[in-house]
Amino acid sequence: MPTITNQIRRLRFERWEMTQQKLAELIGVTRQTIIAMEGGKYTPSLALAFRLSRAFDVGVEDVFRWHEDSQ
Amino acid sequence: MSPLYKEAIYWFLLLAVTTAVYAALVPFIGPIAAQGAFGLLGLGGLQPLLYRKRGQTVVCDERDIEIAHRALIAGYSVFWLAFTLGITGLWAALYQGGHSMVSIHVLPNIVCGGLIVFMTARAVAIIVQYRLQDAAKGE
Repeated sequence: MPTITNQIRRLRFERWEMTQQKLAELIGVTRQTIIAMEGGKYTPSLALAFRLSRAFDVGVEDVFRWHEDSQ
Repeated sequence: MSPLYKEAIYWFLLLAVTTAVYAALVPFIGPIAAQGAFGLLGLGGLQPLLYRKRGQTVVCDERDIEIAHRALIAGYSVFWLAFTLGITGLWAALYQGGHSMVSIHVLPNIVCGGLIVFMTARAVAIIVQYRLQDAAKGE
C-alpha cells in the first residue's frame, strides 16, 4: 500500500522555528491536526495540503512525498 | 483538547448521568415513569456552546469532521448489530409456538436501549480515534 510522508516538522523549523499553534492558525486547523500530520497519523485533504505548501511558500511535493509500496 | 473530543466526553457523561438517574428512580416510580430521565439527553442541544469561537483559535477542522463521521458510522453499526441480535435473541428466547406475548413496556425500552448503545459506541469511537491520532509528538 502506498504511503505519504511529509516534511512539515522540518519546514516548520526552517521557517523561523514556527510553532505548531502558529502554523495551525495560518492554515486554519487545530494544533492537534498539525501534531497528527507531523506524526504521520493523518493525511490531509488536497485543499489543506495546498494551504500548507502556501504557508511554507514551497510546492506541494516539497511538503508531501508519495512512496510506492516497496514490498 | 479538541472540541469534538470534549463533545464525546460530554455526551458520555450525560448518558451516564441519565442512566444513573433512571436507575435511581425505578424503585420509586417504576421503570416506565423513570424513562422520563432520558429527557435529560435534551441537554445535548447545548453542545453548540462547545463550538463558540475563541479568538483566532480554530475549534473544528476537517480532521474533526472526518473523525465524527467515522464515529457516526461506528455508532450506527454497533447499534444495528445490538438491535438485531437483541430482537432476534428475544424472539428466539420467548418464542413458544407463536402464542407468546411481549409486554408493551418493552417498546420504549428498546428505544432508550438503542439510544444508549448508539451514543456510547459513538463516544468511544471518537475518543479512541483522537487518542490514536494525538499520540504523536508535540512541539
